[in-house]
Amino acid sequence: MRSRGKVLAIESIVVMLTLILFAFVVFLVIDAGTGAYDKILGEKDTTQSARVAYSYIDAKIKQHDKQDCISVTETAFGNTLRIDSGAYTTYIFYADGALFECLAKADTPPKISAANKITDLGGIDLVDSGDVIHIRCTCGSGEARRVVEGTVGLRS
Amino acid sequence: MIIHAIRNTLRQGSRNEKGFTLVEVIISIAALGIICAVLLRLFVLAGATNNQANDVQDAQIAVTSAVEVLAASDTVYDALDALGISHSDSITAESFVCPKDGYNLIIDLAARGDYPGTLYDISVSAQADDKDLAAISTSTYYKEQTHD
Amino acid sequence: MIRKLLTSKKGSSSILVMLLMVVLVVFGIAALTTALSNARLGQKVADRAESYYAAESAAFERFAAIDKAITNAPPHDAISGLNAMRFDTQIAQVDGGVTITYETWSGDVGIRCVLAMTDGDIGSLHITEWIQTTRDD
Repeated sequence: MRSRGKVLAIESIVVMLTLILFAFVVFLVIDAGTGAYDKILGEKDTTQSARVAYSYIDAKIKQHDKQDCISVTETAFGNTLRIDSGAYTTYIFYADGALFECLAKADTPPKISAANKITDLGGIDLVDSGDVIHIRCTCGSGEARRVVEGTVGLRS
Repeated sequence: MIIHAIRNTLRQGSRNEKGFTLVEVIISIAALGIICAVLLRLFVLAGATNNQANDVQDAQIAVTSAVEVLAASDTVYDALDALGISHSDSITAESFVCPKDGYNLIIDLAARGDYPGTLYDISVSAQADDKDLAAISTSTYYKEQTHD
Repeated sequence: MIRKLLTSKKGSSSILVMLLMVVLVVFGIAALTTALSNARLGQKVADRAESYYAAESAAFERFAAIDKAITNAPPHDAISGLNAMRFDTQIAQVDGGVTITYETWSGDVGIRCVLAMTDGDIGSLHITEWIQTTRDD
């Protein structure tokens, strides 16, 4: 009788241990699944911000390619893309972790209070080489850092 | 459920069989393992698709940038110099390969027509493992460059 | 019968496994959908670029044709050389020169080109505007 009780106790402990193992495996599998999904989504978001910024600047340049209208200038926000269109000037610059666009009166410096946020960004670098403008957009930090760089030509 | 099973099995002489059995849990773990191995492929496929999409978009930007340099320069020679590609003094129809990280940028140039300047048909593609990641075909006219 | 089935604990770990599979399949499909939407976006960008450069190709061909027409025209009468192009090219005389405006399209993407030249100087033909437009504009 007593030995039967012992066998039953050992059996129940083994069952409990197996249950714990089962629960642990379930937790591991769910963790792996969520981890994989988070990684894909996070990477996509980071890269997309840099790509959106690059595409936006590329499109702006192509839509305003007139003689002596587009240049890269230094403002209070660093490298700034300047698009002159008569009485107004459009400035595109990086500040406070985002890309901004500001429409100001000609020869008036850009202000962040009057600017519209385009997208979150880690940084931007613009170089004017005469015929072309080199654009470099960065987003994220550390291992998740993404850089999108390219060139837009000025035909005019 | 678990407390109920423990109470029942510890009861002396109890024949209550409610609760998890060892066999049941072992079979469940085995089934879990087999099904996970199959489902894992879904995640691997998602990761591979995402990586390929990123490679294609990066290659697209590289190809577009090369075309922009070619279109904006005064002569094809200036453009090739800006891209860091060595060339001859006269280009009528030529192909250039420019290695980049992870792929090769292939630039095909062919002059055509009879114009005061030179009209080139341009084809730029990014290739990796003999596959085209991105490609653009266009034409550019170099007014400053007389037709050779 | 149903009450007996509902209160029975037989096979409950299998039900747990099935629930877990549903959760994993949902995660897997979500991850795959995200990856596929990324791929679709890349394809859209590539298609847009293809349209733009097709329009630009036509624009440069027209530029070359205009340059040829002007070069072959009688001296100081560049406009007569462009007569054949008048129906799809706007030609305007401005102070001391001529401006030539035309558009080329590929799908929804177009390019509006404005060329300018000084009277009597056929070598002065140059691009003053090269603007991307879309059908909405």
